[in-house]
Amino acid sequence: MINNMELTSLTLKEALEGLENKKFSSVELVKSHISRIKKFNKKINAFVTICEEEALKQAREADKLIAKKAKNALLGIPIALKDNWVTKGVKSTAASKVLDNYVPQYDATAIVRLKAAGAIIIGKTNLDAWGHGSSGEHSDYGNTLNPWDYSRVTGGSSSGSGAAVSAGMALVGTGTDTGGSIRQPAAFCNVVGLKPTYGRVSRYGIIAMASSTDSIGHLTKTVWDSARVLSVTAGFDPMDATTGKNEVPDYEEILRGKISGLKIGIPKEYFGKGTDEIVADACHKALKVLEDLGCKLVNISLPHTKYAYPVYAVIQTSEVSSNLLRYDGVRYGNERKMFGDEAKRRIMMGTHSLSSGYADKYYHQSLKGRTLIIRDFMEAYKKVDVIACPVWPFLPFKFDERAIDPLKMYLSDVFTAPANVSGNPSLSVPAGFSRDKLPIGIQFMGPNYSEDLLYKVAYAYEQETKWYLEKPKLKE
Amino acid sequence: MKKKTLLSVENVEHIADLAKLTLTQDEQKKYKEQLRRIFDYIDQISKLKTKKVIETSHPTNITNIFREDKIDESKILTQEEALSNAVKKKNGYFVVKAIF
Repeated sequence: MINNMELTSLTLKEALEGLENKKFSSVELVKSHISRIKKFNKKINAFVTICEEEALKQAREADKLIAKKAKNALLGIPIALKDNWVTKGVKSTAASKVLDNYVPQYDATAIVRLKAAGAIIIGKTNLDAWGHGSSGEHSDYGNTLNPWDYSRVTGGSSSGSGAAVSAGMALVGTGTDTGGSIRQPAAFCNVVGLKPTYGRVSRYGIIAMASSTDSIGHLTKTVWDSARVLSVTAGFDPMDATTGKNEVPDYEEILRGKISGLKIGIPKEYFGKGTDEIVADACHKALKVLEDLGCKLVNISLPHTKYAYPVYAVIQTSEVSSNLLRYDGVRYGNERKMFGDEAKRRIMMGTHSLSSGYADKYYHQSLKGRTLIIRDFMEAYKKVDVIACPVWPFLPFKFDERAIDPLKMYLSDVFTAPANVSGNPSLSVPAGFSRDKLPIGIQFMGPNYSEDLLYKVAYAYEQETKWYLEKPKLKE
Repeated sequence: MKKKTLLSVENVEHIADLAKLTLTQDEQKKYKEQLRRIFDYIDQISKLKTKKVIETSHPTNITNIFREDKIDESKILTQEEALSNAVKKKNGYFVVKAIF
């Protein structure tokens, strides 16, 4: 019998193998994760809802199926869902008091698929309300603390999922990435975060933030784990007309492939004076590892980079203001006066950008700017296969350090928002630590539907470095 | 000298009205100041050369997605389910505030 501690430090792959080989049961796996949540969540605040009873019931069912040698992709695996994923019969708040009492009547498509693959939902995770934030500090249910240093932010908005996976409270945490919200907590918590291509995973049943940039992904301990989850969630959904009909490749097979000869672009705009030296150094070291594996490093330029954030800010807040207008407190949820400060500010920004007299200057100009940014990337992908750059310009910061100034907080997204503007996939992977043991992430971006290629590069890098073996030491 | 974004309290009231938000006077003042700073920063997009550039509203260029005009009964909520989250309901209807 393996003890709880060992079960919660397993990767998804190891857990699946252990279940298959009867080293432990799904009930034991779920129980060990729930007991860890009970021990540390009071402090870390990663979960807003815990589904203990239902999870244990599902685990008993899973064990019966495992005994019959069933081979579902995630059978018996405890996962955590970001609370802007709509779950049938389980409160789904988006961490906003507006939805404090909302119990959905249906499951998001991605949840239907995860459940069908045998995954077990152990709880719903905290976030910046509605997904509005880069640090986790805008939740109406309190801050999530970074497992690596409780005085620092986890990154957001998928703050709870980042902390939960990092702290061994779940094997997978789901997320949404509208301007960086999966990659940012992944980088600050030493886990892998995938923002898939826009439309690769269905948005149906995910509480909308900015409909033209919302990307539905997940946070995991390793690259293989991420590939396994995407192979379950990806694919066309008739309920979301923006999902692509492109075939879902065999990610697990492709990621083992050779990477020698691949060209990796290093955009100079991401390594300029605004980027902390420690972060840039970690990324350069990671690139050296890839060069040693036979990749060719190519210096490139994405000339419109400095406009990507303001263009994103206008498009995102415009769509936020439109999406949040549906909350009227009549059919579900509470009245509009329950919106928090950050939601109100974004609604105001977006409404202004779209309003008569300003729409040409802001909204339409940004949609044109978006075309120019997409062209930058397309030009770059003629020269290189993937682009590598930091996820954040700086290390995990302390609470309130940036939250006091909205503009300063918004500029945290400068390196992540471009992939949302362009729609391209991006994968954040651990790239080491600062001297004070604060995690650093590097992201790999590629053309639309190149998740398989990103996995291949990241997997090769991960096999050389294995940063995921480093775990935070938690205090109660 | 750089032209600054001008936003009056009246502008802020107008925006809040369009957005169906009720703001306190303190909030009006705060957002006026914050929006001014944020749009000062955003104003740099006016330097983008976009005269002959088309707009992108959707990043993967999928167009004309149609479906059969058929009802999918598996996606229909019962009246009871549809009303399950309503704060006020009467005789199977949502109760709303009078418009006129």
